[in-house]
Amino acid sequence: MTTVTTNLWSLRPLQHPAIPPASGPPEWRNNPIDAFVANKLRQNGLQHAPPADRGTLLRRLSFDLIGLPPTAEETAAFLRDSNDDAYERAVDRLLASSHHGERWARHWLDVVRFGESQGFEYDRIREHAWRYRDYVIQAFNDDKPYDRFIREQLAGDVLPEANAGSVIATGFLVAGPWDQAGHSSASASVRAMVREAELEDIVGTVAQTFLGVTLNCARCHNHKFDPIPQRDYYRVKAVFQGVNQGDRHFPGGSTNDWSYAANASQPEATFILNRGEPDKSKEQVTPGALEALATHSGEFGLAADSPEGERRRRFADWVASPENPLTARVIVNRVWQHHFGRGIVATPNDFGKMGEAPSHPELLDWLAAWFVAPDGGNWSLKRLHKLIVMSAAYRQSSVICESVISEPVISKTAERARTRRLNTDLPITGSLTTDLRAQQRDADNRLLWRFTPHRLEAEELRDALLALSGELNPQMGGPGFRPFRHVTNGGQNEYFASDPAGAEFNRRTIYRISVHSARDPLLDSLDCPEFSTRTPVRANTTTPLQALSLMNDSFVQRKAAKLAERVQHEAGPDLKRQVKQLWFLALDREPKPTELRDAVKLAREQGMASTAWVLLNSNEFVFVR
Amino acid sequence: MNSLNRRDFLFRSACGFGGVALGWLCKEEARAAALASPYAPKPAMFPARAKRVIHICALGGVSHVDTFDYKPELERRHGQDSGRKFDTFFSQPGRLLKSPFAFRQYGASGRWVSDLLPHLAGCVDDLTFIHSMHSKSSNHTPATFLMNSGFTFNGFPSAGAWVSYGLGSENQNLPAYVVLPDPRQLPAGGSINWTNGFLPAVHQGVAFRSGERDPIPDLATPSDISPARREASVRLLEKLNAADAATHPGDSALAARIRAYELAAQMQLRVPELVELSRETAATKSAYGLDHPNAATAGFARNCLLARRLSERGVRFVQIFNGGQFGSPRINWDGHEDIVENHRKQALTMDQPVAALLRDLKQRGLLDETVVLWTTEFGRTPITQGIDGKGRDHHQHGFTIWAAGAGLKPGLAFGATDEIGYDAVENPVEFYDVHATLLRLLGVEHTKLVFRHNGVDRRLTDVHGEVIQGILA
Repeated sequence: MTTVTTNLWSLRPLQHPAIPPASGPPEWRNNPIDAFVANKLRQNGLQHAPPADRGTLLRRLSFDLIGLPPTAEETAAFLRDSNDDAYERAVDRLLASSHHGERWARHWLDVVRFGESQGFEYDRIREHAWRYRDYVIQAFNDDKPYDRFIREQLAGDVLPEANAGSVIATGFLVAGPWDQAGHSSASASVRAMVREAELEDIVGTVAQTFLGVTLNCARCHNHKFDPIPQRDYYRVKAVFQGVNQGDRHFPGGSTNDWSYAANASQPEATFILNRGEPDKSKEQVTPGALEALATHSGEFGLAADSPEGERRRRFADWVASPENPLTARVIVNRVWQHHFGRGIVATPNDFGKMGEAPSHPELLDWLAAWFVAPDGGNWSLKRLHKLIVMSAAYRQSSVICESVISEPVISKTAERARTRRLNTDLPITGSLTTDLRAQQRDADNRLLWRFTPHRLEAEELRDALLALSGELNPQMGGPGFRPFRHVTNGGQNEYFASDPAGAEFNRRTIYRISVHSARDPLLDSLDCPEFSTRTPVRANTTTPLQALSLMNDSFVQRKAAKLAERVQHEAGPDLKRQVKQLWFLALDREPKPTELRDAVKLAREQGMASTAWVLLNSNEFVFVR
Repeated sequence: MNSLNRRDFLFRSACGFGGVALGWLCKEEARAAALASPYAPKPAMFPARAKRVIHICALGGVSHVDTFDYKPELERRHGQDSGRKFDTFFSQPGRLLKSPFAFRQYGASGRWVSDLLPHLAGCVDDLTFIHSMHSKSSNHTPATFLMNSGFTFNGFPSAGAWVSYGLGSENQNLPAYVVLPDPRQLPAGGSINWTNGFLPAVHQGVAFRSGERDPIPDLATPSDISPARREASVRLLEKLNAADAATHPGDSALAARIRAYELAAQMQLRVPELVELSRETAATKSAYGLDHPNAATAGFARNCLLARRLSERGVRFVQIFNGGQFGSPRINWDGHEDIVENHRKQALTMDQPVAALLRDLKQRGLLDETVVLWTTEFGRTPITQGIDGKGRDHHQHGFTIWAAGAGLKPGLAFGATDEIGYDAVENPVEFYDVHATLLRLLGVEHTKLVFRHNGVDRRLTDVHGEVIQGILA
């Protein structure tokens, strides 16, 4: 066996960098995160922004932690609360909300390509796949330790302490598409090809999700950029080769209870395939993991015919270990990304050479080491969330002001370097020199000299409309709602998007069943990802079709009308009071005098629903700042 | 307000005037300009031979040996054992079956076409045939994905999305990539066939609903909202957005969103005008077959005419589907049971409209700047499905597609299958090569049109693809 040598940063053991000395105003002296961020800003001649105003901050925090806007009461109470710990109590309240799991499960489901239908030709619905979605929501709400969360998804059915949740958790492995037509083909070569593609999907998803490694690139040849021999791919494939898709019972469930999860059986021998082609076997491999981690061996000493369950248990232990530097780095980066809009590593599924280098490598390692340390995060995602959102870096204003630039000096050499960089459009790495004016090079705000505003995601926007209209149905869990017409013809399924009204359809968007060919035009226009695509970072586009959806979609119209009724009901007959209530609900602030005048005029002439429609279409509503 | 004034205005109003951040703001403005339209045209890498694409997808597997790939040897050996191993999809290999359709040579080029397609037969001097196609899969959906996206798995961006991503569009008031599904039914998998995959959502194909005044969902202002009400609302929206932008200088996303509403308003005007066919002459409509007694033909004819109108208006990529889902009753080319019954029925829907589209484009001078690409996901076996069967099974090892228009050698027959139409033996071509060639015609080097996704520089052509030099004019 060859030994892989590498100097790839992500494969090195976790470093334990010293926390830089704190500096700056008092609120920047409480949190190790701020020390790292401030240090980097200082090195680049930049300053942080002032704190965000409180209404903006609560709105940001609420969308971030639970995916919903604060209620009018919450905003009012927060603005009145002058205690020092008002913000911290808001953080604790939101982290304890059962909506928290609904928000963060969506991020996870994007990464693991969660679908509730088979895809391909027949696209049949998986009636029981929702249990995995509920498992993830509950895991986040219960703050299930992340190492446990990993073990259950990779091997929950074969753990000694397997239970209902852990069996359901293996839905992770089989959440990708399944080619029913191909599997039922009479042709052996068709079936073999389909199965290889399916295993590539599983191996690729496992490695990208937990390790940030593009192991799927090594199916046909050694990885072109990273120290991953083709053999590694087949060793991991041997771990999962016994996994098949299907409905199954789980411990404690009744005979009518099913979940769509891993159905494992003892696999046949695994061979390296020349160019990844099913009919071109080369040498046999034993189950194992990556061999490039110097201090964390991927050699399990398992025989080629070792029991199926043993393979996945060993692999799960190997991943969910504090000694695995990839595991901790990858998850703290994902969490960071969803709080700040961009990861410390901007390519969260690829920590390899083709990925981006970390903007704050020391901070990433400090966070990763803290996260797995028993006296630190101890694998608790909620502790990690709290550490991050309590930072002053997170609480900065997003408004761009001159004051962020502390060193206006620019040398000719630096200017030339800057021009060259801009022309070639090279990614900016973490090693910036201080004589460059960073605001010219850091338009993407990688160094966090302000909070980066972002458009509401598809689910946030739809859920916010439901919340504002007062119609949000908080029912959690269970089979998803199906806002489409479903036509079957033999084995074929056709789905036609529709917008039915009713309480069932007023549930949060995460409970909309994820059927591959039943897309929703409103959600699509807001970059809701394709279900079979692993999507660690969503696109964030602005298009005329998106504008048309928000202008004319029947759902938006209905919610605007309901929001208007609501403010009329809550504020009484006075138009001014109604408008003020509308502003407070949608934007978490009072209207300015001119806004009040204009909005009252529109409401008087064209109805309050028109005014509500305007706010729901406004940039201020659609962006989190 | 010119851009300098606007910059001053924005910057003064929020943070006071300072030259310090101006450089940053300039870069931000350049971004804003780039964002001004998500379909903004982008320069080609080489001089482009073609500006636009019309891609006709005939789904189900069109039998090459019954349409464009004439095999006299099949007539001689009709009913005999093929002597070849067929790993067919349904594993019921039958005996060699001569084409039940009569072949003849047409045009100055003398290309062979069967009597299934009499209208297209009249166009052969404008067509470039590739008779040596072969595919990775004999399974409809993976093969269709491969034909459209270069991958056999769900979720990779389709060619139209790649072209939109690479080149934008000439018309900012219409989507860059428009899909016209078969009026009878969507293809299996529906919109996944025109997905943007991991590319930004703006590159997703926009499927027009057949026969409706508002072909795009949410295009029209709801009927219960009066124009006066909408106008007054939009005016307040603009005012709020402008005031908001002024207090957030440098956030280009705000400007982009304001621009998107302007483009949306344009689309509301342009799309209904586009699908309004009353200005087309009766002769044109009749030539396409809009008045055809067969509803499926008339509906498909309307889509072909729409394709011309879209192309004419600069829409970069138009995709027309001929055929719906698989299964029965068959409404695509999947002639397992009876090749005569199935292919006659399908050909009737496709032949006249596609031929009319080609003639119309040519007559208007549009064929000189448009590539029309006709593909099917695979061919059909030269043997019957089952002994004494009347149908043919899926066949991936050899089949025919054709292209027409800008930059191509017209009347050419490129590549060939063997004497019974089993294997592509001369100049074999895969869809990677077709995609590479299509991009080349559009002025794009296929290895350079990349999008980094989860650690891979993804391409339409994966790690394959050679430009088919032999078909280029």
